[in-house]
Amino acid sequence: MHDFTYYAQILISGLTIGSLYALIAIGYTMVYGILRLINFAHGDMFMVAGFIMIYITSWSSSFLGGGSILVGLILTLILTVVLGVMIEKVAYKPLRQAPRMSVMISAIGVSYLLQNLATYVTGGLAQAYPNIPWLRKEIALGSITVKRLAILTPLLTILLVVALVLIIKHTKMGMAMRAVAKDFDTAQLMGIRIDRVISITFVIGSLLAAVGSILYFSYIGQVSPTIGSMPGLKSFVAAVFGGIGSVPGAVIGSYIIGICETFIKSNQDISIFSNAFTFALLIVILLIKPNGLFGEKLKEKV
Amino acid sequence: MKNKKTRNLLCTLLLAAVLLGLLLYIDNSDLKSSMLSAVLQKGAIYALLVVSMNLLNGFTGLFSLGQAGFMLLGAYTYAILTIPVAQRANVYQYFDGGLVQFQMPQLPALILAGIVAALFAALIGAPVLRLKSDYLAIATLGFAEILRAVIQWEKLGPLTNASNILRKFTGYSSILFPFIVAGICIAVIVLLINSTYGRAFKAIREDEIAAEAMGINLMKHKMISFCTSSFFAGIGGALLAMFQHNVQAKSFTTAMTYEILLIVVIGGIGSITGSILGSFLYVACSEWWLRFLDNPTVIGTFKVPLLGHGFRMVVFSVVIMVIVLFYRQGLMGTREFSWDAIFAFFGKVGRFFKGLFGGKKTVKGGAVNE
Amino acid sequence: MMKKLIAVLLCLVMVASMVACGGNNNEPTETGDKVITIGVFEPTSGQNGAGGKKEILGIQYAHSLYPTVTIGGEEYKIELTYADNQSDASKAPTAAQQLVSKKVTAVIGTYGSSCAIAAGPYFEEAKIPAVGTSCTNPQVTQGNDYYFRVCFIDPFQGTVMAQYAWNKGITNAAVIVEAGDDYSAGFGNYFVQAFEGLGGKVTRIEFQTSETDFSGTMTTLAANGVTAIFSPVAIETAPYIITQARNAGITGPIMAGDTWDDISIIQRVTEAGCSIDDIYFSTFYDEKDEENEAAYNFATGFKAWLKEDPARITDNSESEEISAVTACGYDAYMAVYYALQAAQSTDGEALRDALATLEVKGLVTGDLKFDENGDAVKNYAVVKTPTENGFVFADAVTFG
Repeated sequence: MHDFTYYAQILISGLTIGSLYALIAIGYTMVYGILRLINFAHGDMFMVAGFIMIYITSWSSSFLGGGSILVGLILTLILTVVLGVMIEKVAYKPLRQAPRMSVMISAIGVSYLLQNLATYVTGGLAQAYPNIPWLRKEIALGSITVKRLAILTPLLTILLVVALVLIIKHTKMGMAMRAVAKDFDTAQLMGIRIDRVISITFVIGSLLAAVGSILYFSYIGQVSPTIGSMPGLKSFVAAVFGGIGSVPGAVIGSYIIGICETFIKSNQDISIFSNAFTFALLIVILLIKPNGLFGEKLKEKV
Repeated sequence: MKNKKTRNLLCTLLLAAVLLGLLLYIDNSDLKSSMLSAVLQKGAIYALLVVSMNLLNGFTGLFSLGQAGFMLLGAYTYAILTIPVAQRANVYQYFDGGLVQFQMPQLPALILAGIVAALFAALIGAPVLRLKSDYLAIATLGFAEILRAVIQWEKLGPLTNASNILRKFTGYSSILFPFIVAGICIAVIVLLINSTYGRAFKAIREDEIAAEAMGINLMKHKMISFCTSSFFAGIGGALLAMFQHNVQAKSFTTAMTYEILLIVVIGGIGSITGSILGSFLYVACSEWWLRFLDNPTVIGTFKVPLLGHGFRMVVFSVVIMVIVLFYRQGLMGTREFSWDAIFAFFGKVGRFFKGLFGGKKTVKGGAVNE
Repeated sequence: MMKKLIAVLLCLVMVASMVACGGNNNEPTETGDKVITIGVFEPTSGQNGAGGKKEILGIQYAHSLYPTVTIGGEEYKIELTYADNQSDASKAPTAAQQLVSKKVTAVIGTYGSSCAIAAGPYFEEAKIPAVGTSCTNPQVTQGNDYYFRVCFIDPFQGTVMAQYAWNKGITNAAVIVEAGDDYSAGFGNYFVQAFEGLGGKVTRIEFQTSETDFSGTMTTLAANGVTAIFSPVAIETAPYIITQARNAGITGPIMAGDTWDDISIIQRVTEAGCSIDDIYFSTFYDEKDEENEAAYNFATGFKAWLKEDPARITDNSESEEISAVTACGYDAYMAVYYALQAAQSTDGEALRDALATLEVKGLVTGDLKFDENGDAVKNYAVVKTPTENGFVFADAVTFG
């Protein structure tokens, strides 16, 4: 019915979306792996990173001109990381001994706070994201032309993921992370500085969310206060789908969801189910393979 | 002891009579269209919704985030069944008047609203309730999102009016109606909690494995709790639809579930009276008392800082974070309202003032026998 | 102990403040003037916040010109009181209730049909006449004796745009609308009806609120030979539709209704490096039409008023362009104003009757007269298109 170019184009769109989900999903999967906490605020961090970029570039463009984009990029990365670590210290750390439900409610509270704060500061309206011309250049790939952004996003994602996996596998910090994920209490007894490991986890998660936000908002062009919640939830689903705690799993889950979603949207009869599909997939995977595609079996503590 | 019981009963009856009188007065006076009346009605409806969520999250320890989905089912069932036939062509304007061509009386439709929600809960509960806490949360949340999309599906338009608004269905004329319905429903929930089932729920909440070892059938009890909670969420949804005069799938989002969950936290996870108090307090603050935070105000030439659009919600979220972090008990913790505690409290206040003023003054509360 | 005492005291303070707040409504102001309160029922947040703010500007401008009205020989001061419906049909009832409880004489608003439909029963029950600004869905006024509106309605607007597309030689179009938005879905349906009636082929697509990615949809549409898109959606979604359609290679016209009369859409599209050619939308009037004297006066007067306060420009989407919805806000205020004069009363029923028989010549969007539903009788719409110098007139359509 359709030619090759058509499918290739949809596939590229799906890959772009999938990569963006992947960058968020890694933050979820790492935090969950270590703290057993669904960090509901992660999707909103992603939104806040978008606004940070907008405000910093517009503020610095008055005296920096063209350089403001670069300053904006760097400061966005730094400030998002600071915010992520701060959230952990303020909202999650005091509840470390509390029941799981309390921590999760705290996470929902933080998400609520970030959204309302963004609504207050911005007046509740969508704002234009700074234009990064370099990303918008078009390049031809055989019969289709795509924006640089569409190619760069998957490449950058894969690169970051490979780097991350290497860190986890081969550095001392990575080993500590794996140990904490395996058994929180024993790791502590072994002299691992738990708080530091958790902070590093949040640093990595926030950094990737910031990178994701730069790519995502460059792709769609504007930021609004509630824009983070849906991609956030979908990324979490992707993380569960791939097996929570597993970084490659989260990435593969994200690509599967991104591509499926784009194909569903491309069919007019069922396009309204694009979000519902993601959740249906989640329920199905939880029932068939509760640990996800690549997840390790979590042991039940008595 | 017996004296205390009579005293408590009297106090309860007195309070109920005062409340009833107040409601009757509001209902028959100018106040009916005031903010006070709106807040009271919405508060009563929210109380039911919050208590039904508390039954699941607070008493059974099942962290479910599907509340909005079950409310949606209840609201839609009720609305679809009670739109007058003559109005259907108008409401279902894109679907030739829709498929349903009869109108049900109010009460059966209301009960059916609960039943439909409970049926769906039973359907999804069997697989989902096996999941562990956070997976259960995300699965029920997902289920609510799926429901929303299905109801908005154009192919179901003749039944649900697709994504378009449903209106003109039977409402209520007296503001007592939501109070009576919510009151009966909450009473049923209280009875359930105080029954053997209720004790089993609490056992599951405290320690699932231990409860199972004690011979409690986990699946059965979780199912009962889940379906009952959904049943009342459905009825609450129908009441909310009546209160709003319209219903639309679009508004039953995850944010709505979060709102109700946060009221559960404010009231105290595991306290019915806490939930009820929390609901009225929350609705009154968000719809009425704290509205001024949203309006930039100038007193004389002094412009009050910070006030402005959206500030109310910021204040709210900060309050909620403070409660979550520092007062994890909420208003009531797991305790319930009791007259004994009230009298004891006033007794203490009396002694406190006596202490302050060197015992010279007699304070009202000080006279109570202890 | 102390904690509990503080809690009790706090509660008391709250109750006291509530009583204090509730008490001072509707009392004469300090100077002893008689006051008429008009409720402004508009979204200032949510996805229609930008539009609501612009309508409020129109209302405020009209109020600044006509701040008093004489009834029965006495001069009444008109005051505006605001309620934000948050662009959400489930929040609209309490916002409406807020106005009802302040005992407003009349209500003006709202931008977005969903909230108007949701709030209608409250105003009707309280016998407060409401004058809609740009809520174009027929259901707003149908079966509600107290709701009027100064704008045309979607069946008319849908027909206008379908005819316009057909005249441009389009035969295969796609309609993309937001699920659960009565304006968007309703308007889309009327376009489909009219366009199919003309013999065209239409693909109808619904998306969920807060959708941002339409690339898959657009790729399919392009592959299916769709040459035009009709998408009456909120301001926030419009840039996604335009840029992603262009990226997917749909080069034909992209059309919409009155919501797109907002310069920020064009700014976003330009910033994204997309062309703004071939975009058309229907709207209520043309500010640059020199034959319409009222419109010309409004445009010059309003621009001067706008520049007086930078906050006003911020509310006007950071620009000095006049949107048609601002004119609707102005006209709605004027309708209430003239109805008050005609009724010579502040009673809801009298005011309603006055509105029903009201005839005003020379308002900004043309002469005003309500039909039996309470809809303004309009047979004229303007089609505009963006250029580098803002929106310009593309066509005018007169029906019947």
